[in-house]
Amino acid sequence: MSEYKGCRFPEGLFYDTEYHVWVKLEGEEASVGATDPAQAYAGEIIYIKVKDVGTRLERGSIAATVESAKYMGPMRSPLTGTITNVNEDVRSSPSLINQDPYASWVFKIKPEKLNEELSRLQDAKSASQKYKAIIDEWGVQCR
Amino acid sequence: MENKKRFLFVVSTGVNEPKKAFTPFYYAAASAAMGYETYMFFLAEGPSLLVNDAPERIKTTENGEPLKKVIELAMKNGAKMLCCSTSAKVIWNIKEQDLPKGVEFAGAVTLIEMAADPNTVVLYF
Repeated sequence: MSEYKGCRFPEGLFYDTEYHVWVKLEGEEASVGATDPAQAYAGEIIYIKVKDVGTRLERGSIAATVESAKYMGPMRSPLTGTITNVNEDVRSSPSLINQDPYASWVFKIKPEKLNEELSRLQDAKSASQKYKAIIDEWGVQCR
Repeated sequence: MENKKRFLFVVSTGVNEPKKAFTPFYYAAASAAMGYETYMFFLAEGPSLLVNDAPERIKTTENGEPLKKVIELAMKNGAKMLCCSTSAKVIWNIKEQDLPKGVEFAGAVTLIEMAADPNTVVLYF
């Protein structure tokens, strides 16, 4: 696993360094959650509003809104498709994202343009390289 | 714009009420983060929050973060900011170049036109 300033990037996931989310492919669906540096930047998340199951999203459109004491921002979808599931555990206890961002998927999506959009995502090694500058710029330490 | 609905935050409180300063920016950051087209309109005492050392100086609590952080958060999320030119010039002697980058002067007609749009929700601070 790649790591920088305590921020982890597990193998086997795809990373979107523009929208700061990770993607895990699971058959015809993909799970999406916040990256480790993103949760550290946000601080303890106190509320998350996720779009409903059945909502169709374009890549880059807002899938969820994340709120902490010092942060308020959108979580954008890295993939075009339809939301098939929302993590109720995360919805009721959003700080799970801070505790274990890669176990705490936020929503699942059935992608429509996977081959095309996968090329915009990065593997763990390349994402961790890209994130070094971002982590330094944000001044975050994940743990 | 992902939603047709627009939020317009009218800010009339200023440096004289620092405990009220953060809220409109935070809520504007929220509505922008949710995908709503979001505007902030500063009038009366509102323009004073944006100039001189106010963004750095004003804090909710002694050890809290400066107002600047939440102004930047709202802007980063896409909230657009307009400042009443009359309030700015007459009350505060502010010129347009004194405003932070991204904040523009606007007039009463702009505010009334936006507020008259049935898709606009107006929140007054």
